[in-house]
Amino acid sequence: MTFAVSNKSLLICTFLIATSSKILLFPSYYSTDFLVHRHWKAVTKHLPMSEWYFDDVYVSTKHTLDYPPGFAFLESAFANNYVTRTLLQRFILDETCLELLNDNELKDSISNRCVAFMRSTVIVGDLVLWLGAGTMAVAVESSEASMSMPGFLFTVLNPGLIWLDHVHFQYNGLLLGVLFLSVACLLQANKLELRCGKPTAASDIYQLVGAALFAILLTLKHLYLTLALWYFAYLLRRFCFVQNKFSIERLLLLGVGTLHCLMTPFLPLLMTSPQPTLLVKQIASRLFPFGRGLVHDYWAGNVWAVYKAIDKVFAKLFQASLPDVSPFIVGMIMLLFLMIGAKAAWMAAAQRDNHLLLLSLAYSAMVSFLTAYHVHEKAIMTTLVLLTFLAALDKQYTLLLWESTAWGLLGLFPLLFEPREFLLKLTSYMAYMAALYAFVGRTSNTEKAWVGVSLVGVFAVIVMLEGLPISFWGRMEFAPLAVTSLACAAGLIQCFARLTTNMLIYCSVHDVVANATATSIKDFSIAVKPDEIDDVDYIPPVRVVKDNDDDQYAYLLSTKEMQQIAELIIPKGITYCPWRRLYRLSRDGDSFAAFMECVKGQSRTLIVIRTTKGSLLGAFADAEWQNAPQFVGGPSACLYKMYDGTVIPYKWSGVNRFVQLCDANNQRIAFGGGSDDLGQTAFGLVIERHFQIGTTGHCVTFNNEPLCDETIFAIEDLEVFGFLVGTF
Amino acid sequence: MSPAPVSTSIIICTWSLVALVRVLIAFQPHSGQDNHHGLHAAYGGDFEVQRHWMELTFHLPIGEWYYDDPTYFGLDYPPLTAYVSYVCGYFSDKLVGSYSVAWMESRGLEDPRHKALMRATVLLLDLLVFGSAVWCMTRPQESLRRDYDSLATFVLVMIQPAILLIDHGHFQYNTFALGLCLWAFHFMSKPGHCNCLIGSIFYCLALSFKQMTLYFAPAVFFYLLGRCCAEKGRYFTLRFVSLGITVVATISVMFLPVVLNGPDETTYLERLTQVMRRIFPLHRGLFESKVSNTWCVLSLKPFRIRQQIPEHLQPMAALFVTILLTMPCSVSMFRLGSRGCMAGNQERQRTIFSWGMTSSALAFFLASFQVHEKSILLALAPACLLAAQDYKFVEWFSIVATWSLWPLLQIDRLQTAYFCTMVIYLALLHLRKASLELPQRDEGSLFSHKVLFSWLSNASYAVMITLHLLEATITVPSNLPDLFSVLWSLVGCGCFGVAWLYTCWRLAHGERKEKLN
Repeated sequence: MTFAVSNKSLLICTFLIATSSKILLFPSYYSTDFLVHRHWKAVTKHLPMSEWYFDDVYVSTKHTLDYPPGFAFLESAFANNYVTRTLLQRFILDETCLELLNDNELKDSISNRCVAFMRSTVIVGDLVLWLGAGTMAVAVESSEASMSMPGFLFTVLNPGLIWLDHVHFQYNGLLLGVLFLSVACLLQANKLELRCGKPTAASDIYQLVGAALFAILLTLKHLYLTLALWYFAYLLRRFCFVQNKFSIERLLLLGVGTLHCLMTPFLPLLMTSPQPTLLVKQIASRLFPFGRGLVHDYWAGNVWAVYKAIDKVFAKLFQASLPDVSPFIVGMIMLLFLMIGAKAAWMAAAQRDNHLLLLSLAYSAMVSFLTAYHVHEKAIMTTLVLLTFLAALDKQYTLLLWESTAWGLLGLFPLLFEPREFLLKLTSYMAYMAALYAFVGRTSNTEKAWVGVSLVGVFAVIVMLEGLPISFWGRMEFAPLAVTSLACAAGLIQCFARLTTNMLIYCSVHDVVANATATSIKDFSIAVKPDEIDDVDYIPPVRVVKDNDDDQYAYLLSTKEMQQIAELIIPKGITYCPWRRLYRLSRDGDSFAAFMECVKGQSRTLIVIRTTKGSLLGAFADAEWQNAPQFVGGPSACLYKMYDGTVIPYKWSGVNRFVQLCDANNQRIAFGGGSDDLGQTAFGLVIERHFQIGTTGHCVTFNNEPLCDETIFAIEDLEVFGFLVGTF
Repeated sequence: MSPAPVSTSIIICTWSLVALVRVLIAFQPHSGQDNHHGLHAAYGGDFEVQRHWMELTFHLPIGEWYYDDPTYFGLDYPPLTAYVSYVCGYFSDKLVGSYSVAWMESRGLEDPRHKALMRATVLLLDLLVFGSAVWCMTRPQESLRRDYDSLATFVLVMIQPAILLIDHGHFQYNTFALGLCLWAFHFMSKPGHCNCLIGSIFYCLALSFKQMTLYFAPAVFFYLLGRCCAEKGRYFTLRFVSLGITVVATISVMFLPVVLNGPDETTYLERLTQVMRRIFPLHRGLFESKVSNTWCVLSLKPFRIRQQIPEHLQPMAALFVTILLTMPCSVSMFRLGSRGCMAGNQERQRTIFSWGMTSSALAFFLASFQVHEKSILLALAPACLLAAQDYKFVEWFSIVATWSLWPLLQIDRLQTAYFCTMVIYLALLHLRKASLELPQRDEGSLFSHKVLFSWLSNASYAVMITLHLLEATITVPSNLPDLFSVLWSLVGCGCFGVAWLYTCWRLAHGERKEKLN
């Protein structure tokens, strides 16, 4: 962005604008969920704890308490606090607002002030979302004390959350905030351990807090149980194994801590109840109402919507119907898919890999939306916000995020069905999708075409759903809703397939590489021999994605040289990826800022340099280029030079971790450093003064010869390639 | 270095956000919603006025439009308003249902679907006419690509709280008239006589939509006169006559249908007088309710101007003072026009032009006859285009203008919307200020350089906040029921007076600079 606004003032202003907008939404439509939450506040205000789950004994209502006790305590906190009491005492808020009422009395009892009060509690609850998203945004950044602004803003300003919480009325922001806090703790634990090089007490505490927060989340809303398997697998591997050995003590510690958090909200209820067993049964029947059917009233866009639709078509055409699906079968199918996520979580835990952590978590969330029993369309939000942070962590997922968001949010359209909300939905949807597209950045022509197809689909659905009057459909009046949910299902399943492929490839690749390198990360003194990892299996021919101006600027390397680099330097896991030229000195200009802009979000880059004397040399970097005061980078980084058309690679020696440095203040990047046995220090390769001058020397990090004849050389041209992970 | 161009997706995002803010405000109650004053028959509110005009134009033949019952919101705007009302009424009939414009039956109708449609018409006309005009006027002159700077100006103009609250909260179609005016200004400040002709067509359309746009008339007239005299008056006659023909033709096309049709026994002249009498209600008094202008202030206790000047002389007095106050901008606009419009210094010329229009509108607001508090929007629209040149003044002026609408917004129960839009606007302003690395365009702004004016604007902020706090905490003594609305108009009038002086100073300053060149 060209606006040089500090993050702090941007945050404050965004907060003010967002909150003002939410207040402006006070008079908008609210659903029965509003009445539900009002009733729960009344229940927790007026009934003793043991009676909370028997509220229908006292009043005739269908808005009975059907969330776990933790949420009941939250409602109780909203209903019984100093501010609320003061509002009631001073008659700013009318008594009836928090009174136990029968359903038939509700119609005339809801005053504007009551609505304002209830909506304010949601705004207060959103503070947790902002806090959680903030910690998440810090946790996904590799450097300390910086924050992923796109990830943060695209989460807190997600129109889906605004529609759900501030129009439809729910507390999703608050719940997601708790989930974020929990995940952020897990991410931080990994960051901490990687930075210190060994497990520390602090990272253990982070994990315990993460587990506890997830337990608290479960007591707030049991819908998140679908993520429990992921959490179990992850924490079992991450926390209960020390140096690949299982430790029963740590499992006990984890189990006791988590169960404690899980049980705490139940205890007061059970202790005060005269018949605890009855209460347990009652709570269970409220929390898991299996009598409700496979799909929700509006079909949420998941596989069961498709199943139902096929069923309907079958019934029409052949007078036959597909077999009924029982909750048990649904559960088994879901479990099967969740197991894959759990496997990935296990790997992420073993490798301390935050990327895979978020990837598998987003996958699990998506599985639970797509395959669970009686899903609400709102459940997609968990997936979308997790994908947002995944995209913030690695930009290759932005397009996937864009498409899932396009379909996921479209699926929420029928939720706000009144005409006055139509323009709200349309404008906020357009604004968000356009901004998200700007975040996606440069796209290839195929990707553009794909986005175009999605746009046409979304447009068609909106016209069907909102543009045509209901009389147009005649006897097919269910058609707009059915088409919406089927289109969303198709879009989301397609995204899910891509997400799954990405995850499986990521897993299979890292299985090989990481097994060999994980040990080396823990112990610097052991030098790995990266060659052993790499020279197995077949290396596919290098493919370079065509940009429009490729004819004008030929590549510095010949195809043969590229192939050699692919064989000798590129980590095996990404040799199948097409290359794309991100930056070319003579094309994009000799500006450091331009370089930074072009390589932003690329976790692996290949640099090719031609000196004015005609030598070819370069480096492969396996960490993103971000301005940081210290060295970053991992074991697959490499320097190389061309000698008579042959690549001579200098791989990481494992002696130190001075792999790559990005010093934007002095406009230079550097590879390799540290002093050798003789006490001499030199960089392996430095490129400075806006890519005009380079220096090279012997460094211990890569144990390399100087990469060309001159120690200081002038750069004639420079190219940077990125790798399109997840594309074939 | 040329500024970074803005990608299409950011542009779509910006327009959607601008629309979104309008949609959010549209959720608030419109004037007179819920029959707020308990008078079911003719309860106050421009919403019902506009709806009634749709009903009226949709059902009555064109000749009876201006002869309809004046006691229930008779049509008192020029014909283009009536035509637009007809179109909106047609859509209301088709999309919402015939009950929404049913003759006599639909009076005082309150229906969420219908409200949604009414709000949508304002939004659509706003974005189509006002939005497009602002988009064109904020575009950098030299390049066709839009940069972030001009995009920020566009947003700040489109998020003016006063304009948003009146059009999308209170409910009026001001942005349509303002948009037409801005299109007129856009063409008039371009080189070439042809552009002047197009500009004057737009201005005449604005005039036949809302008579209030006459506030710009002296400035526009003298500017165009100046343009005719340019190049030492070589083509004066040709230019003057062609402009005259354009103006007369446009106005006639707009007015002819209502003059040609009418009750059988009336003559064309009688019909025209009837329309004019409706449009210019001289019998309605010097000012309405409490408004922040000179007459309202002078009618207070020590002066009591309403009693001292005989009623039939009041319009003349108002006219005289108004002409006096428009003198500076008229002179300056004439000079600007007569210098001719060159391609090179268009940006500066447009700046002076906007200052002139602001000055003219402020003069009318301060001194003309039958001023509404909403008329301040006419001064605000050209003024906020200057955000890139003198953002301190624009910031101050837009805040004062919005603040002066508070008594009206209170009646409409738009207090929440007022505070929220203010916060949104201030936050955006802050972001904008924080993003400006060097206030380079700011040279020559009194507010940043001269201590006096800086002090004045800060003092007025303090007074405004204090009055808000006082109003919230103090119960008004029973013998002074209007205390706060009077205070509001006093402070408002003072501020607008200062603003008028400031515009005059900017005009003189601009002249001096031109001379130096």
